[in-house]
Amino acid sequence: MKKFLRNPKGSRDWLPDEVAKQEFVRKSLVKVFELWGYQPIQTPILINWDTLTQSSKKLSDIAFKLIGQHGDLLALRADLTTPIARVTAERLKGEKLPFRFYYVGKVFRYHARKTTNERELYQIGIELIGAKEGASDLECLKILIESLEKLGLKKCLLSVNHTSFWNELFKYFGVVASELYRALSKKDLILFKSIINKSKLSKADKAFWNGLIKANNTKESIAHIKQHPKLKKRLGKVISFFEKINNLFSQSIQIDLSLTSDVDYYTGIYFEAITPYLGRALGSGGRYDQLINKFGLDVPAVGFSLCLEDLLLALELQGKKFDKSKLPELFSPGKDVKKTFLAISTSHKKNKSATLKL
Amino acid sequence: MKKNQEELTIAIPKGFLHEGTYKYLSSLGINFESESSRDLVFYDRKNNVKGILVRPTDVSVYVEHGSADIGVVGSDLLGELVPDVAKLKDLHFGKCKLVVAVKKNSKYKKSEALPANAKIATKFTKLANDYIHKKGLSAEIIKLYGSVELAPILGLSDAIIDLVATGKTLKANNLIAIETIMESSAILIANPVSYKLKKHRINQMVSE
Repeated sequence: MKKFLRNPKGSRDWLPDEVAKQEFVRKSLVKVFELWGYQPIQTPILINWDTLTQSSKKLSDIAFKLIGQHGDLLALRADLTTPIARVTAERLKGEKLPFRFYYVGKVFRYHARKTTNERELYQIGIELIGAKEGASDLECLKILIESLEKLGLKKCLLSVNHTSFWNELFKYFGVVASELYRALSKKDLILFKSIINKSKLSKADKAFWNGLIKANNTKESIAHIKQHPKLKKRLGKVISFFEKINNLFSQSIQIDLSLTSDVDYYTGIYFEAITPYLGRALGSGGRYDQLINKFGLDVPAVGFSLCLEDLLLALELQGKKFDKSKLPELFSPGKDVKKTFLAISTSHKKNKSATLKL
Repeated sequence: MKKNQEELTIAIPKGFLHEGTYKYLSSLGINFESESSRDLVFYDRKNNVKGILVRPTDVSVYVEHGSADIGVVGSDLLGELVPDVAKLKDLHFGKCKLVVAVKKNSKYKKSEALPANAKIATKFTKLANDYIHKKGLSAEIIKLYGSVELAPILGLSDAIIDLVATGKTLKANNLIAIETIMESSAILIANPVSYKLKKHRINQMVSE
């Protein structure tokens, strides 16, 4: 038997029925984005290695590196936020702000995630560029919620946190807060507790940290910060922002103070979308006010991206049935092919698919 | 615990940690009814808890993928497999040590004495590699799936890296431990998404 040549590890083919499902996800989200006034943007898959290192160390660590014919270092894009930040700084200086962009495109990563082999994934998302923290963040969250609703994904939840919350803790508590943050980003609550126990924190501060990971919902989280007399003042701005978010989206968003961010360029809110159908987040996002400046244009921005494959998987696990694609009407070519083509054209004009019977 | 709450799936390891896990769950009021001893899935309907019985190495796999919400696994395996799961609580049972052991009459009395071309047999290739790197050694790791104690006896390896609970197995095979790499005990782990969505319920298990 002839041996089949296979795709490289972590890549896949999409057969027509599968593409149709993918299209459903894509079209549903694009519809939402366009209703909100977002416009499509495309950037190259092949990028300069420097573009990537400029943006994020974490991303450069998992990106595919390539060497060009003249020894130039290239990479395959590992996210879309980075290339969009670059093109904004390069080509859109002086244009009227804000920009509302959406994108659908493949990203390439070694070890895209631990539980599956994929190295090539579709990301779909938006970037809202040129608007300061405030209403723009709420718009971004609103669009994310509407996107998941539009797909028909049930029981979705957005976990939200803010970099200022942690930055204030770092300032107030010093080194121990950074150690605790690292323990949380490793999801190691045993280490988290042992750091608290070994530390010289006061009894009240220890209780504050222990309570931080216990808060079950937004209300408890906000109440928890307010409990601490000294932090309450420092965190006034974040608290009122959290309250605003809670007033608008209490059904679908939860403030999670223990949420750490996987991306190293966030400078405001950051969030992830989860569903009980999948053991990992569907997507994530946040504010990144310094990133575009790294490419030469000082503008704030906020955005999110979702993994198209995971959205589809969650929909299927939830039991969604997709329509089979309709078969075209068939016309036998006969002796007079011209006449047959005319008949087919008539069908096409009525927007009905028709083709030759072969 | 309240009724009418969402189902919670727990991955329970066979073998060394099995009994301890049952006792721990029982102390939380979770008791499984099993129709036959060959069942791999069993229920505590009162608490709406589903238990699945899996090999120790598979516990973190089920939890990482979200097929089980929580599970009990040794810290040795967490170090070996490095799964993306939340580590919730040290349950302080199933204690054992990961050690370097050699034949009693071996001329190597510490790991630094092992020659550059030394062979070490182990089930824990990642932990073994991490250890020899840390020590600046350059040994060859031979992966075995069981009865690691045989390797030095048959001359397959100069040393082994394996788990020791009582030390009886080593003794019976004329081996001695020369160094401890890590201490291990049973850890309660959770899928990160499950932990967020069923936080209250899972935290109850941690605090009790």
